[in-house]
Parts: sequence; structure tokens; C-alpha cells
Amino acid sequence: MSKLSHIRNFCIIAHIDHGKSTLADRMLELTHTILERDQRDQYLDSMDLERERGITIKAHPVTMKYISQAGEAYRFNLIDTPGHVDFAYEVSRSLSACEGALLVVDATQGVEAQTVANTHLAVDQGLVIIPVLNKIDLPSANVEEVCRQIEDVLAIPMDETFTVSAKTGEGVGAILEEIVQRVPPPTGKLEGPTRALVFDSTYDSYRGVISYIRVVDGSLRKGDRIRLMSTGNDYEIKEVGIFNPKPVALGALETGFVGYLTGNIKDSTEMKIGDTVTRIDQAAADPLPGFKQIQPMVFSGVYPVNTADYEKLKQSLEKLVLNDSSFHFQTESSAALGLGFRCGFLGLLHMEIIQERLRREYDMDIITTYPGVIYSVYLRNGEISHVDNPAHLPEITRIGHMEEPVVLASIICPNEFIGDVMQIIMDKRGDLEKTETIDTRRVMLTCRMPLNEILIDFHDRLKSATRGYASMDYEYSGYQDSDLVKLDIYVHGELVDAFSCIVHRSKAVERGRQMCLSLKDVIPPQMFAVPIQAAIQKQIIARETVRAMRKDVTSKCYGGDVTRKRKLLERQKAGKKKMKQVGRVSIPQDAFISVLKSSQ
Amino acid sequence: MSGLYIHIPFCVRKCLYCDFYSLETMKGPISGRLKAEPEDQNQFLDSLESEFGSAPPEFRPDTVFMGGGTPTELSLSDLRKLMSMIHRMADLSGVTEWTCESNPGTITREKAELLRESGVNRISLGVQSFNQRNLDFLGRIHSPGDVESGFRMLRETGFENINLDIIYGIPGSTASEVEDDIEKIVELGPEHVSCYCLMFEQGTPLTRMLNEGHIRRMADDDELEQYRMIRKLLNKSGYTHYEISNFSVPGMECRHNHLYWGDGEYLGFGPSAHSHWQGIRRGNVRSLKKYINALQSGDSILEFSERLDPEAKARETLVMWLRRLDGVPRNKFAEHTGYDYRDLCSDQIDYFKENGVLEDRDGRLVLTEEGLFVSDAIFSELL
Ligand SMILES: Nc1nc2c(ncn2[C@@H]2O[C@H](COP(=O)(O)OP(=O)(O)O)[C@@H](O)[C@H]2O)c(=O)[nH]1
Ligand code: SF4
Ligand SMILES: [Mg+2]
Repeated sequence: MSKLSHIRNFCIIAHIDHGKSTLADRMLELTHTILERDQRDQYLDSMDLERERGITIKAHPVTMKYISQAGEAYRFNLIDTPGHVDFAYEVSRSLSACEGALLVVDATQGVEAQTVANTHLAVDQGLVIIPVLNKIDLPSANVEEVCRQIEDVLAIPMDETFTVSAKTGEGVGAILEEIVQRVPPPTGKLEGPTRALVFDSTYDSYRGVISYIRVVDGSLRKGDRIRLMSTGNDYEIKEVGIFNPKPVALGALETGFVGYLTGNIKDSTEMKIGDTVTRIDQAAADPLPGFKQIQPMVFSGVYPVNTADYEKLKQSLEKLVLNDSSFHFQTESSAALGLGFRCGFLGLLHMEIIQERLRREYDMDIITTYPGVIYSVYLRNGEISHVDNPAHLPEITRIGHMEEPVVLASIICPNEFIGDVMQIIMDKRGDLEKTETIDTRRVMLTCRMPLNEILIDFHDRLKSATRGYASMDYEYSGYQDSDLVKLDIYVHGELVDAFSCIVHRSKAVERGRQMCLSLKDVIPPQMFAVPIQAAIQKQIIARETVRAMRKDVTSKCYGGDVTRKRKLLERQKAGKKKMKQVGRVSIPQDAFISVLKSSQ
Repeated sequence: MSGLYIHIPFCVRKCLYCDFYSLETMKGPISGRLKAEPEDQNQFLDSLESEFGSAPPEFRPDTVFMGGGTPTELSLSDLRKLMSMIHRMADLSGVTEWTCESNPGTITREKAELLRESGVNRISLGVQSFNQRNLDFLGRIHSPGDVESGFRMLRETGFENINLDIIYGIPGSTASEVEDDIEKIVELGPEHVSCYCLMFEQGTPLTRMLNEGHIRRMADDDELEQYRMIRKLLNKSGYTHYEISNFSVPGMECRHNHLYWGDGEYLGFGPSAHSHWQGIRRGNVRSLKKYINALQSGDSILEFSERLDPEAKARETLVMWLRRLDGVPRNKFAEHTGYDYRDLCSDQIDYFKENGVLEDRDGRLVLTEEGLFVSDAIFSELL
């Protein structure tokens, strides 16, 4: 019996909430990887945020021992992957660490946008796909119909589909057996040059970076000298092990194994996802295919509410980067907000997660600016500049033309909402490329649209126009020429850089008006009327006025109690101090937050 | 110049907006606010006398102000006791102005004569409004008719210096009601008028009604309209607007109040009374019980005391002086505080001047009419 024949590496892919984590829970129980008394729901989602939001952010590998019906022991490595588009690259790396995928579809919902996107990713990686219809315990489960969808939309034969209830455990045993039968064992050379794929990493303040790896060829053991092939950096392995589901140190990780290694790697940016680890004494000539430097796609300024917290924010961001190298930051300063950071994220969800972790885990009060993308600015002198901050846009006279990133989005929605959805797509400057029917009730619309437009209320509008029935997924799809302008906001004649944004010319007036209006609502009356203006190159395109405070007089001087009067005035002054001063205008912190929110 | 203030902590019934310290003397389960006990008045007068005993020997006031509460709510005999005690305990030889606050519902001819004979030469009458609905809203105990008869009686008793207090900005009131109020006042012809905007103080029944949504604040535009109207009508009738909330016929400004906003010295006696003496501000406890007990046991009756550093003190003075419509004389301010106000806040002053809310007038810094309406916003920046 070859060493590899009794290993199965697989992952679970699904649209959000279709039951991926719950199915993983049942498999952990059936294989006695965790005891029932340790069981809690969504066991693998260990981050607070993951458990609370019910999403998987990090990949979570776990090794299980399965005794097949024929009585043979198998080593199952399950990798629970994040399902969200923001993490598409991580997902693709996790998938490439596997030979098979369980495709979970909620039998009450049917195929959704991420079902399609994730299936395509898995097929691209050459994985064997085992379709699993989940939630059959629910009366609204429509097994036949959903099986047909899987066949029609994903081209997976109906008769291969398994039906289970991840909740009750019904049917889950049959899947384990099917994994043995259908997922191929790893291939790879036991001897000779060593190659291992890094598919994720976390950070621990004692042990440094903990890399999640899949050994493809050869083996790795404690004390081995290794090299990362993208950087050429060398390290010595301090520990290797598997997740069971807690980390368990082993003497060696053999060919086909999924586990972790540590090696005094100080910073997760040194250990890039998709990189290849090789041994110096068994060096591989070529890295594993598919490595990419991932670039952030969405940018926003992050500032401490309290300017004195700048250093604390910096330290928090440094710690965050240690275990999330896909997130970037760089110092920037804003006239209105002071010193802060321009941060780059993989997408909107990633941005929200980082911001929420800053608030919760690091207890930071932050203000975040309008999210934007990277624009390619072609200058007249032939240079190209990549602009991620509206404040850095070159002089308009120097610009030849600009390009913006676009995505290819697939939206699945019930037939009766097609008109509304098309309207939203048009409003968002999208081009419809294709319409396909999913079943008698639903269609899938594929369209190309600027990423910039998706960042702002697209998802919310889609959900509310379809009473929550639409689902969406997208992939990045290059750059396209675009007529973009920089929209500036002036408060009392002063430019508030934090509110500047780059928008399509056709959207500028509407956006400008909207921002002026919401500012008008949140800036309290000042001593004088305060004009709020939106402008393109100093030309005003929208304006509102915060009316002057009409009256602010207290009359009585309580029987000689001057102190009380003074304290009241001091409180009034202190209240104002807490606000950001833009020239002479005091803007409450909330105003920044709510204006930036309302325009998202 | 210095002043003597005496706080009489009794009212027949608490007005709904009031947060001055006073106990209700009216019996019955009406307001749920603090009630006076039968023996309180006696004990109060004894305690007051013992507090007087600790006044500095050099204290020789130029003005006296009896406030509260409602001094005229004391019985005729208690009032007589009080007046003779003041004469006994304080050197009144320099007094030029002696005010007693009163309420149209509690002043009787006997009490007025007693006050007059004891040296009181100025009466401040809490009118608040001539409109019954507005009086009811405020929870006042008197009617518009009481004001007119009370005023006439005071004149007959020989009072030649009378102040009337009125309140504007009462939710539900209209500009024309305020116009009526001013017309009635002008008809009566007091020497002095104080106009206060209704305030929602913490802990009052009115504020509770506001928070519970039973009533609504007046829009600030309407408040402003009322304030402007009061200013216009009183000016037209020969009253000078000399302080943010005070008007008088020429030469009849209230000297005692001027000590408050002019950084003058005064000693206050009675629960919750405030003093400003030799640079220290003090406040007595806001509780008659504590006040009485402390005086009996020889403990401190102070609730707080503070001495500001010179700069903070100068800023406070600047702000309080600015309440006067003739402004802050630069020289006199420098003499008094040791600071040039331009050194304290030239940026703010210049900015306010640019925007027309402050101006220089003959070596004085003055609120403009526009500035008057937003004076708190200006003051809070200057502090
Ligand atoms: N009734 C029922 N509910 C299920 C089943 N599987 C999962 N769920 C519920 O569906 C929700 C989403 O499940 P989860 O495993 O977090 O989905 P994931 O987002 O794909 O990981 C949770 O509330 C689960 O309890 C099932 O088989 N039957
Ligand atoms: S009469 Fe004056 S002190 Fe007494 S409750 Fe009314 S407002 Fe307050
Ligand atoms: Mg999950």
C-alpha cells in the first residue's frame, strides 16, 4: 500500500449560509475528531467575528481519521475555505491544496451566485466535485428541482448528487464513504526535491508566523533548512504538525499531508499565500504553479477619531498585518482628519472586517473615508500613475486619460425582478452581457461594471429591490477607459480633503448633491451660515447651506452663581473641542462617519 | 463696592420651570417637590443669624438683595424678625439700593409697608406673563390681575424703583402675546424690566415633560422673534437695554446685579447662596436641613469654593463684562484683571469682529446686535 493511497484532501464550497460549516461539524463528530461535549456550532470558525457573522474569513484545515466501510483507515484533510469573492485568491490556493470538493447547495434556496463562482474555481483547479444537497430536513426543501439546477447550471449529473441534513447528520456518513471512493489520493513524489504550497497563515506572538501548507513533493521535518521560492529567504523549521483540530506537533509532514510549519518567521508579509516552500538540501527547480502577488483592490483612509491615538492605531495596524498580509497600509495625512493611514483591502467585506477588528480587538475609535479603487492615470508625458487616493490625482491639465477597474458580475434573481435589477445595473454604469435561465423562476444576469460602483450601495440596492432574493458574485476583469472627475467638497470655502472622491462625470452632480445634503443635516448650526459646496475643479456643481445658529443666549445669572454660568459655557466649549475644526466650522465626528456611510 | 445677598428658601408652590433652591409651603399632595416643615421658617431665621455672625467685620455692603425663593412668603412677623436681624447684624450705613424679590400672589400692603419702613427701596416683582394660559403653563400661583393691583399698591406704599420680571419663549406662546405683555408693562411704567428666556433646567417638572414628549421647545426662530420684539418695544418706550436680559429707564440700572457680572464682591447668606469675596467664589449647601445642621454643629456650610488662576479669572471677567451692552473698556479691564483682552484671545476677537458679532467702540469691546443673540456661542470661545 502506497503512503499516498490512504490520504484524501478535500474542501467544502458553498454559497454563504448553505451549510458548509455545519456539515464540517458533523464530519468532525462522525470521525471522532472532536468529542461531542466539545462541540459547538461552526467549530472551525474560531474568530469571534467569524462566529458572529457566520462567515469564514480564514482557511481552517483539519485532519480527521476515517475508517472506511471496508475497514481501512484514511487520513482526511478538510480545508474549510472562505467563500467570499474578496478572498478569491486565497480560495483558489486552498482549492489547489485539494483533490476534491464537496459542493454544498441549500435545497431550500437552490443554486446561488457564489455556488456558481466557487464551482467554476474548483473545476478550474481540476478538482473532483461531489454535489451535496443540504437541509433536506426542512419542509421547503425541493430536492428534485435543485438537482436539476445543478445539472443545468453547473453541468453536474443529477444522479451524482447526495442529499443530507447537516443539522441532523442524515446522509453525512455516505458522503465520507464517497470521498474515499471518488476523491483521488494525492499524487506527488515521495523522494527527491521538496515542494509545499502555502495556502494561508496566521500569527502568534510567541511562535511568529504559522504557515498552513500542503506538502506536494517530498517531506518536511523539524530542523530542516527551508527556502521560500518567491523571496529566496531561508529559515529553519521549528515545528511541523497537523490540526486535529487543535495543532498537534509531528516529527514530519509527509507527501500529501496538510498541516502547519513554524520557523521564526517574524512577519506574515514574508510568507506569501501561494508561495512554494522547498528544502535547501532537496531544492526544487521550479515553484508550484499559480503564485500571484495579490494586490489590494479597495482603498480607504483610516484615521483615529482622537488624533492623539495615531501611534496606537499604527501599532494595531502593524499587528493586523502580521496575520493578514493581504491588507496594506501606508501613512497619509489629511488636512481635516490629521495623521492616519491609507489602507488597501481585497474588497469591501475585507475592509469591513479589518475595520471591525480594529474597533473590537484593538479598541480603536476610527473614522474611515469614502472607499475607492486604484485608477490608472495616463499622463500626457507618457507616464502612468496609479492613484489610490483622490488627493493624489495629478493636475487635470497633465492627464491624458484615465482608466478604472471593472468586474464581471453574476447576479441571480427571480424573474419578476429582472426589470428592477437591470435598472440598477444601468444606474451603476454596467453593461449586460448575458442572461441565462437557472430554472423556471430565476435568471442569472452577467454584466460588466465598474468596481467603483459596486463599492457604493450596490449590494444594498440589489437586496432591497429583490426583497433579499438576489445573490451576486463578481470577479475582477481588468481596466477600462473612463471619463472620471475628482469631486471636492468645500465647507465654508475650505476644501475638506477627507470628503474628496473620484467619480464618473455622469455621477458627479448627483453624488455632490447627496453629500452636500447629508452634511447639511449633520453639521450643527454654527454662528454663521455655512455654505457647503461640491465642486469639480473648483466649479461648483451643488450647494447647500447650514443655516446660522439663530439664538444662543442664556439669560439668568442665578443669584450670583457665576461659576455655574461659566461651567455651562465651558461645557459648550469642550463639546466643540471634540469636533473636528474645518477652518472655523466645527464638524462632529459623527458627521464624518454618517456622511461617509450615507454615500457608501 | 460690595453687596449682600440673602436667600429665603420658601415659595408657596414651586413653579414648574424653577430650579432655584426653595421649599414649598403649600400643603397638599400637589407637586411632589420638596415641602417645608412647620418649624423650618423659625430654624431658618436662627441659622441665618448665626451665619451672619461669621461675616468679616470689614463687610459694609453698598447694596442688599433679598431673593429666593420668595422673601414675601415669610409671615409678617417672620419678615419683621428678618428685617430687624439684618439691621442688627450688618453695617448698612453705606447701602444705596436694597431690593426685595416678591411675587404678585404673596405681597400684601402690610408686608410692603414693613419693607419700606425697614429701608427696602426697590421691589422686584415676578410677573412672568400677563396671559393666564402662559401663567398656568409655568405653574405660577398668581393671575394677571394680581400684578396690576400689586403694582399699584407698591406705588402707593412709596416704592419708586420697581422691577418687573417677564419670561419669553414659553412653548405655545405667540409673538402677539409677548407684545401684549410689553404693552402692559409699559402702561404700568416700572423703572426696570428683566426679560428671561424660559430655560429647561435639569430636574424640573417642565424638563421632564419635555423629555417625555408632552411639550415641545419653541423653535429658536420664534424665540428670537420674541426677543427682538421685546427689545424693540422697550427701546421705543424709553427703556435702555443695558445688559443681555435687563432694561431700565436711564439711571435706574440694578446696582446689585452689576456686582454679579462686573466681578464685584458680594456675600451671600442662606442655603444655596453664593459669595464672591477676595477672589474666592463660594456656594452654600442647597439644603435647608444641611444648612441648619451644619450651623448648629459648627460644620462648614459650603458646598463648593474655588479660586481661579488669574488668567481663567480674567477670561471669566471678560465674558461677564461683555454681558453689558456698553461692553468692556479695554483700559479698565487691564487695570482690573492685569490682562489685555487682546493678549487673551486676539484670534477669536478678530474673527468675531470680521463676522460682525463683536465690535470696537471708543476703546471698548462690545457685542453687536447680532452678537447679542448668539452671545453664549461667543462667550464659550473666549473662556
Ligand atoms: N434546518 C437545517 N439548517 C441547517 C442545516 N445546515 C445548516 N443549517 C443552518 O443554516 C445556517 C448556515 O449554516 P452554516 O453552516 O453556518 O453555513 P455556511 O455559511 O455555509 O458555513 C445555520 O443557521 C445552520 O444552523 C440543515 O441541514 N438543516
Ligand atoms: S416663585 Fe420664584 S423661586 Fe419660587 S418657585 Fe417660582 S420661580 Fe422659583
Ligand atoms: Mg461558515
